[in-house]
Amino acid sequence: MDEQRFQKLRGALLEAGITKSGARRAASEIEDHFHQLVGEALARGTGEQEACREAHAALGSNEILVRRYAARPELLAWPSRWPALWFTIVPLGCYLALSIAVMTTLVLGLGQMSDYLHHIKVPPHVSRLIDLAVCVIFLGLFPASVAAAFGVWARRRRIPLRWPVIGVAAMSILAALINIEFTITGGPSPGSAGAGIGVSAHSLPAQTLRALAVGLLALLPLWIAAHRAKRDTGREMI
Amino acid sequence: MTDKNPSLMAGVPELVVLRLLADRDMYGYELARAIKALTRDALSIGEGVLYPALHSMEARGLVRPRSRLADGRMRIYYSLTARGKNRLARLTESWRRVSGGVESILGSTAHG
Repeated sequence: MDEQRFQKLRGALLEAGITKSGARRAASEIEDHFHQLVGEALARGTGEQEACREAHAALGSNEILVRRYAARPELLAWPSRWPALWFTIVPLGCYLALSIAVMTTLVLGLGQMSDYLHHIKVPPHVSRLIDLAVCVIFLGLFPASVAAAFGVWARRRRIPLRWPVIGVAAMSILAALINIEFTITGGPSPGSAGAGIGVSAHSLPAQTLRALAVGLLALLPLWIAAHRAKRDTGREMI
Repeated sequence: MTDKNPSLMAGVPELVVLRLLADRDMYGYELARAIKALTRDALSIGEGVLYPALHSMEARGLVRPRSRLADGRMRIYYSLTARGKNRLARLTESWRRVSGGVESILGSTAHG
């Protein structure tokens, strides 16, 4: 039971935003302190149970310890210290970096294979489907995955929900503004790719729909994580 | 830094810990015992305050942790850094000024 307390303390410190190494060190040092308090009480002739009770009382509850750690910004990890930046701006940067890296790889790869791609005979509708699938990956799967990952991370760190939600909204809008065109196998220039950013009255309805789709896809894991946390809290209370 | 007029008790754990570490390296439990013993229980900085304060001081570069084997266990000993020494000097001066001021008032009202 005593060991469980310090494992729980470590988990609670992490959830409160303390750095991984800080939480591990704090739990380990406080546990060591606990054992010395118990040893001291035993040496005085106190019974083992009473010695443990005294030591726990001297340390105070995990809740208070966590609150005291969390009240010191210098002990918090960057995401907990700057949640607005970390869960709204950083995901956008990650998405752009991921897209640029994959796009560059794809363009370089397609450039190398352009001669070969001219000779591939793919039915036009299959070719269009391939190009569409690549666009869906870039404009749907990538932004939704990145936003969802940051959302779940924020949830685990007990970051106020508004930041990941704002992050998801920003990501959905950015992804909807980006236009990507791929022609991988079909058309007059197979192996071509292009990207741009912008909005027009003509494309606004489609872009709005795309933003909503990405937003809902990204919010789903966040909603599941929140639902599970609520259920677990309910179980603990029972 | 609000050294000119620090709130009376807020800086005490930091001042006391820095002062003790100025004499020799100590680990958490030793610090807690030393504070109790030296102040004859007048000042009790609970473990729940001591560790967050120690780790905060470490994060601000005032103390440096070092793992050391003692009594067959690995323990984290804390030592004062140069920045910690400067901070100790400033806190000591502030504390003396405040306590001197309070003493003056107590002395004058006792006579009055």
